[in-house]
Amino acid sequence: MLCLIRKEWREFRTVLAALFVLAPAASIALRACRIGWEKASVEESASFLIPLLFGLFVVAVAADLIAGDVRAGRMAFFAALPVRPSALWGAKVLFLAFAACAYLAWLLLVEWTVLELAGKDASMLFARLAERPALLALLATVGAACVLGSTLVDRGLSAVLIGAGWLTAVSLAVRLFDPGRFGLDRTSQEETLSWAAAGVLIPAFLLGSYLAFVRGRIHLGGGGRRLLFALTGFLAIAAPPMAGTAWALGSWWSVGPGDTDVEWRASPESVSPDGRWLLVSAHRKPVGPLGARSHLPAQFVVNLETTHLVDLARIGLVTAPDRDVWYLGTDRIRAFSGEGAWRRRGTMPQAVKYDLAARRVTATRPSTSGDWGPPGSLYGPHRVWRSRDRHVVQRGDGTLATMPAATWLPLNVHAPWGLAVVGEPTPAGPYAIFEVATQRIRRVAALPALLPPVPDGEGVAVTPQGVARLSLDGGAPAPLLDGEVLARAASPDGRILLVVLREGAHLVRADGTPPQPLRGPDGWRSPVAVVWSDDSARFLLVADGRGWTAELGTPELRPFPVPGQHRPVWFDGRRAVFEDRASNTIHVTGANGTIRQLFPAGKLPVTSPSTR
Amino acid sequence: MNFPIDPKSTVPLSDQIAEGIRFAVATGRLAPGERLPGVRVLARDLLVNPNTVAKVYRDLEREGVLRTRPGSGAFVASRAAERCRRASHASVVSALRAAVARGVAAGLSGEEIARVAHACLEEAGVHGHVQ
Amino acid sequence: MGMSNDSYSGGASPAPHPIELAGVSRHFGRKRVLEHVTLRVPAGCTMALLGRNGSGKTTLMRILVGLLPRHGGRVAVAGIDPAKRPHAVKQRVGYVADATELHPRWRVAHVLEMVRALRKPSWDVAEERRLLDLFGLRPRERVGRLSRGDRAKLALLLALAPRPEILLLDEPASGLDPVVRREVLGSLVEAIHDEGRTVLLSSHLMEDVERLADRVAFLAGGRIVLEGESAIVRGRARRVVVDPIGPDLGALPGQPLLRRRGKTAVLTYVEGGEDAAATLRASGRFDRVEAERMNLEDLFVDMLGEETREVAPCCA
Repeated sequence: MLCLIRKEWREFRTVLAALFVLAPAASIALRACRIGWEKASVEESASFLIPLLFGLFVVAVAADLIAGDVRAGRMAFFAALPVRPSALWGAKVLFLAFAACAYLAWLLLVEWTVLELAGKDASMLFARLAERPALLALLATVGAACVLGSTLVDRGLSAVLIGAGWLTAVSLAVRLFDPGRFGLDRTSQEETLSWAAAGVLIPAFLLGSYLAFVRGRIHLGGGGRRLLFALTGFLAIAAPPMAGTAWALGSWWSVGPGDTDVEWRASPESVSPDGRWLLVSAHRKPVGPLGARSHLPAQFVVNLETTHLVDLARIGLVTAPDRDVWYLGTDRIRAFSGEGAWRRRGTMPQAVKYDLAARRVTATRPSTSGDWGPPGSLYGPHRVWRSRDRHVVQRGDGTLATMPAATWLPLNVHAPWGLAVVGEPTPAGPYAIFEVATQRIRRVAALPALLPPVPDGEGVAVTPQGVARLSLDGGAPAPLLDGEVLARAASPDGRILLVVLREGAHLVRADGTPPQPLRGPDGWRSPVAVVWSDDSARFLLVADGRGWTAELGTPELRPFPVPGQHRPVWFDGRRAVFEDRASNTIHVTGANGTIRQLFPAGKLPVTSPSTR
Repeated sequence: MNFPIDPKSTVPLSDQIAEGIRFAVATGRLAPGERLPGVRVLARDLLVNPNTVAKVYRDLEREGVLRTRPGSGAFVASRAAERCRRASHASVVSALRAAVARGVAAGLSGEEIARVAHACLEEAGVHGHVQ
Repeated sequence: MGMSNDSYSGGASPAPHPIELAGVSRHFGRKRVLEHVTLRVPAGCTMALLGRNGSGKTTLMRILVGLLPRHGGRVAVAGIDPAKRPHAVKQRVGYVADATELHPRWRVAHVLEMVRALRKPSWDVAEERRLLDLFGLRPRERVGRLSRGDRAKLALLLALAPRPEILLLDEPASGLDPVVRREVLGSLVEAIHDEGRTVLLSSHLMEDVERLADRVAFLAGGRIVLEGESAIVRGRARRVVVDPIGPDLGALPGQPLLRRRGKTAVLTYVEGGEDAAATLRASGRFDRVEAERMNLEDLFVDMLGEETREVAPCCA
């Protein structure tokens, strides 16, 4: 074996000598001609020079490692001698490995010396290089790929091309199976890939080369046979981990309605305006195998009437820009097999318009206080879409207005005519107002002076201790209601605020009329959840595990069937959708008053496509 | 020991070698009791397969021309010369016959052939009675 | 005393022959290069494999060494199947290929050092030195600069130095000048003498074949068409020349190969030529009937050439 390694050494002597000389020459040339000696540091050594030269070395030696002997016909000479082909191959690969390590050491030595001689601190060289082991591992993989290429063809350059091509195909295949779908984070993916390269691909390439060499009758030609053995060897090692990873991620990602380790979510946006469809999301645990983060939940389209599963959304809610129409990419379910096991079959993604237009008002938590007391809350018909440089605000009449972003913080008061009052501390003045109506920003020094003259001049502030009226001309708030505020919700059109105090519910209007109490049970003990219907005509209130509803115009709270103390997400007077994080369930109260749970483990009936 | 052999001749090599040895014995170049070169040496000199030489030695031993002593090699047998001369005699006579027949066929007269024979004999220093 | 001719007769001998092929076939695509070849080389015998260029001699040699797989049949070299245990076969065989490629910048000494290490158990260093001297090869010479003759001698040296029990030589002296051929011939003669070495030699140099071969085998059309002791094969073959001939020859005794030259026909008999000549003379159909002995080259040309035609057997 030793004599075979020596033979390799004799064959590659000149190439090795040239590369060894190249290292200091390139290092010095780089510093002298490009970067300049003053700016020399370990940076370009570790991130550019060493990897480049190492890669060059590995490729140059690997390319001709086997191809050289084949091309010159020497393989036939060795084939006739009592040498085992495995010994021949082993000698070549060992030679490459030793030479590569020796060259790496040489590179480090050269860089260190050059930097020291230039008077720079070279002590960080090892540390910086150690930070990027993945790159060197990747280069070693390229070398292994070139060894495989060298076994398949008899020209060095072709060997490099084949090796690089093979490696590229593998990378594309990995990307094709799209870890992004599984929510794998970009950086973790690349880091993982680099280590996978070293650990899996290098043995895979080497095994492919070994089999092609030993069994491929390399002294006789016959490239097809060699290729076959190379593929076999490569797949024998590379395929199981890749398949295993794909399976693990796939089985982690695919969610069925029977799965119990997901979090079920339904949101107000996910009910279509005509009230026919509900989009339910199932989120996996945040972090799955290989650090995959579940960004994309599985989404199921449910017929609200029948609570049947109708469709799967492969791509979630997608807004068309500047429009309130939401699109889903969905699959058609073709079959549903039995209890417990749920399999998606024959899926064909299509974009389906479900007309889930956004209508909801979200009550945002206040973040700064004004002069008139601790934070209350915002209410009003607005929806704010935040991007990096703008906010888009929806006025009460539905039109949109844009305002520049930055650190606009929503303040306490929002009057129903569409004025957004926000504050931002700046040197020019601690507060600023953005007038939605005129789209102007004014800076003011003090809050009482904030509010400009407005048509009806009044706003409402809600604090945990009660509800007060504000005059927008300034002055102290005038209390309207006293008591612990358990919940508040503004109607979608922004005209009415439902405030639930401990002893009862009230409807408060911003137009100055006194709050209207609602007749119902004598107070509540538990937290209260409220949801308005889209037409702002009625609402649903859940407290103490029971539901109450009232319509505007009638001051009476009537009972409504609810599954318990679950948060109501949507309500249209007859039907309601509830989400409960504690029990991880979603319930639907139907028009006839029956309450059904969506996706209890494996038992959900599925609608066939024809009955959609 | 060397004598010309022609691998291309239709006469088998073993015959040529045997003939060569017989001739040497007949003419006295190989004296009775003299040791012949070993099989390997002769094969090397003549550039022939040693098995051929070995076969020749065996055949000549069967004829009585050679005697082998195990371990020492092959020696010319004591009365081999006589036997060889007789064998040579036969082959030479047939060669002469063939030559005469060719001369006759070519149109030479009997006197011409006899004259040539005389001249050859005189050159060789042999005098004999000629009819 | 000693060996008798029967040991080479190739008859049913219980011990396995060092080189044995039985029903071996090999094809390259559509071309059938070897077709059920059966050949046995007894121990200690030198067999010459004769055939035209491209008749499959090199293929057969490669199958024996284990360089090429066969498509059917059984092969045993030193009792071992080269397809199953090629390493064992190569250790017992000295093989000279028809072309040996080495790195041109290596020196002869390096080549020797490497092959010596690879054939360590059986390599005889004394023999190596002797052959180096004999062949006049300089160890410091670069392989790329060796003359053709020197390269052939080096290849032969690499095959002979480990003193293998079997030698497979594929045209070892082709293309060499007469001086080198002499040297090669001389070393082969010595190599053959070494105890019981079995040699299979393929060559076109009929003179060398005449000198070296105990047995001959003619390979044509992928088959062995004639095989036997060279002395016997040669001794039995006859060329019977008959003239004058007309367009129709009539019945001919035996199964000769026929070649026409104008008014003359040359009938080649592998055996029974003398009897056939006598028969033809007795029939009085021809003015001249002459039976000539043949050498191996004559036999080669007549048997393997395109001019000769086989004559259908008829009443003798």
